[in-house]
This record gives sequence, C-alpha cells and structure tokens, in this order.
Amino acid sequence: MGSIDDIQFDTNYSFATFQFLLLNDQRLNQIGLSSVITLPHALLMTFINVFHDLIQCQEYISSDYRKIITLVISDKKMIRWDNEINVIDNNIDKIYIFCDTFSDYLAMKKWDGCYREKIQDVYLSDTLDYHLIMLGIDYIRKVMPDFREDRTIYRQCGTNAQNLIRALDNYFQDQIESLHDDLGVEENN
Amino acid sequence: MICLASISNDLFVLVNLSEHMTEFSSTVLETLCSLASKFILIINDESTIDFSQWSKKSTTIFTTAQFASSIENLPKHFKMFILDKGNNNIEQQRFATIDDLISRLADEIVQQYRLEANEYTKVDELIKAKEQEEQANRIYRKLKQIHEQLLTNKSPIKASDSISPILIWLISNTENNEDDTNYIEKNFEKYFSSFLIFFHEYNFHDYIAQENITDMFLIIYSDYRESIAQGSHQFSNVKYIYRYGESKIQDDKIIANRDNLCYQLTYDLIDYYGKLGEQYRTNNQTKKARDMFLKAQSLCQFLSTTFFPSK
Repeated sequence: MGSIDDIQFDTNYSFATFQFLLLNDQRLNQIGLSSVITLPHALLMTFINVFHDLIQCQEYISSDYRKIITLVISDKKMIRWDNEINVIDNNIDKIYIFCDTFSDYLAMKKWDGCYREKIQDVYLSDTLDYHLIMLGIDYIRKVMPDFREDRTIYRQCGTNAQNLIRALDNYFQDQIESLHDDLGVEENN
Repeated sequence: MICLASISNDLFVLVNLSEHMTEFSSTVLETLCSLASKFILIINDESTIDFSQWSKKSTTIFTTAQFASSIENLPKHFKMFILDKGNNNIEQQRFATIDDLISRLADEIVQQYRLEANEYTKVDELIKAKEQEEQANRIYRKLKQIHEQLLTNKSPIKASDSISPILIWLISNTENNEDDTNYIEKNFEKYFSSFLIFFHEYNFHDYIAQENITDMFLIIYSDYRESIAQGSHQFSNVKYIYRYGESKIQDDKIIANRDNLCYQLTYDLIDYYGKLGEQYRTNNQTKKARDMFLKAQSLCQFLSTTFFPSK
C-alpha cells in the first residue's frame, strides 16, 4: 500500500531554495498499537526529505539559512519540538501537522505552542496522502525556476508534477466511484 | 437519541453522561450512533446495571467520576474512561471535558474498525477490509465537518443550495485592468456563478459584509492597503483572498503576474471543489457530490496542461 518509509528522496531537490521536509516518528499511538500511515502515492513523493529524528531534522534546517523550509510534522514531534526549542529557525516558512486520532486533531487545532504564525493546517493522517499530493504540486511549481538552467532536471520536475496531478485526478475518480458504495451502506443501516 | 447495542456484542458503554453533554459532544455522539450503533450502549439509569450479567467481551465504560467511584468489583476485562471536570492533574484515563471524553470514544471506535480491517487483511478478505477502513474514514470525515461547523467560525456548506462561488475584484482605479478581468472570466466561467468588479473599497466592503449565501473568492489589487484584505477574512463566506498586481515593495504575499494568479486560482479551486464534494458525500447528496468531483477533475486537467506543459 505504501507508507512514509517508501518515500525515496530525489537529491536534486536539495539544491533548490525551497525545501520540503517531513518529520515522522516511529512510535505507538495513544491507543497502544503501532500505526502505519498508508500513502498509496509514496513513490511519487520524491520531493520529500523524510526525517525520523528531531535533532537531525533541526540540524539540517539550521545548517543553511538560505534554504526556506516547508515542514510536515507529526503532532507528537511538534510537541517535543516545542519543549526542546533550542535552534534558530527563522527559515522555517510553513508548518503542517498531522495526527492519528480525532482527539489529537482537536488538541492540535487549539494548540498553544510554538510557531502559531507558521502553522498552516492540521490533518488527520488518513488524509495525509491527498494533502502531500496537493502540497507537492505547489512545491514543484515553486522550485522549477531554480532549475531553468538544467533542462534535464527541469523536465523531470515537470513530469513529477504531472504525475502528482494525475494521481489527484484519479483520487477524485475514486471518490466518484465510491459514491455508489456510500449509498449501499446508508440503506443497510 | 436511540442507540441500542445488544449486551452480548457491545463494547462501549456510556453511563450517566447525558446531563453533561455539550452541543459538540452530543452531535459527535449522534453521528457515532448512526454510523457505529453496534458498538455503543447508552445507560442513564445506573440502577439497571449489573456487571455480573455482562458477557466476557472486552468492555469500556465512559462515565462520571461519581459513578466510577461507586463501582465495586469491576470485572478485570473492563476498562474505564472518566469525566473528571475539577481535576487539573489529568491522568491518561481521566478527561477534563466531555468533548475530550467523547472524542476518545470516537477514536476507540475508529480503532475498532481498523483492527477489524487488519483482521480481514490477514485472511485475505480485501473487500471486507476496505469496507471497514472506509467506515473508519467516514466517521473521521463526518467528525471533522462537525468540528468545523460548531467549533470554528467558518460557515458550513448549506445543504439546500449548490450555487457556485462568486469571484469578486476590487480593482485599481488608476490602471486599466480589463485584460485581467476578461481573461480570468473566460478561463474560469465554469467554476464561478458570477464575476463582480468593484472600483471602490466602500462598495466592496458593503457587498461582502452583506452577502451571506455564496462562498466568495476575492482578488484585491495591491495598491489597496493590506488591512482591507486582512479585514475581509472575518466574513465567514470569504474563502480565499488574493492580493494582486505590481508592487513597489517586495512582498511574497502579493501575486505579481497573471500567470501566477491563474495558477493559484486553479489550485485553490481544486481543493475547494474537492472539499465541497466530500461534504456533499458526507451528507449523502450523491449527485451534487459527483458534480463537484467532476469539476475538480477538469481543473486538474487544466492545471496540468496549462502550468506544467510537457515542453
């Protein structure tokens, strides 16, 4: 089905001014089961630089202040970040938080921690695939001008964006097809 | 609210919580009862409870601190989640608000569906696994919608109408902007019900303050003060605001050229129609949901061919 572990970062993106990072955790969720977020389109998400370790991620961000960072982060990591805030990180531009449970989602919606200005949205992880596709399209559009000089990479970015848009198109197609299923369920209840 | 699980099957029992319910928690509970009634049993008369009569199935009780302290000899396979309003030292199984407690109930039920999905996957019953997974997602979709309607100031989508959003310009009175307005109208006529142009901030403001049926997208020329755009956010039907035009100061929030404006509109409309489709779907308005998803799809094609051409 694909998961965050299946994302293979294309290092060409690390030369762009804008960087897209995802900080996840290997953890047990509050209900006590290890949770694996399914990302059916993980293989298309080559623009994402995945981190599991908070310190490594912070070091990466502070290693080059010219880089402008979009950070997608789990709620648990965000809370830990808030407790151990010790880095200069003015180059973080936007933050998106994802949560496993509705309780965590509500908590993060009214969270009073760091970066309130930078937090753009909170997601439930069952919709993470969709949101990463959307964010990826926008991200690639933003970085493409950086690669104008290198036609190969430039074209590759374009193809990558087209694939993401096709995935999005298919996602809406799936929604349309599942409408019949929804009707069936309603009648049974 | 009727929610009756048979005692042999039930897993989550709510005792004496009715009088503590808020609008949010009772709406969430209603939703859970309509989508997952087999898991929930609601009891408001504690004298009818005799735990020794209950089956050996694992059972979780959601109740008040008062009732919890009155229970003696809770069977070992019972778990308990407790509403404990005065308690600031909240432990894992005690909750300071009823909203938190009922949200936990929702998570437990969703977890139940996911466990069932896993079980089906193990024995290769993939269709059944997908059904369970989809039921879990359906619950979360509905709860997010309830949260948006009751706990944020965003206006919900009105179920009775399906008027497309309107695009409103507040344009510069010193420049000729016809090219831009015509171009946008031509490319986006399928996605907006109308296009309005204002030349003065007062008329513009009066209009958006008064209009309260349709969703609005605003394009405000950069020679107007930033505070006009900021002030427009307070109106719940205003969904997206763009500041547009050449600007003397370097400002990332101002869209400098028409190509970028078109891109941003297309991108946001995809998300807008996708969400709209999802909400209609959650409300079982299948035909409207389909129309919205189709619009999102045709916007995807426009996005791909216009902004990421192959050559």
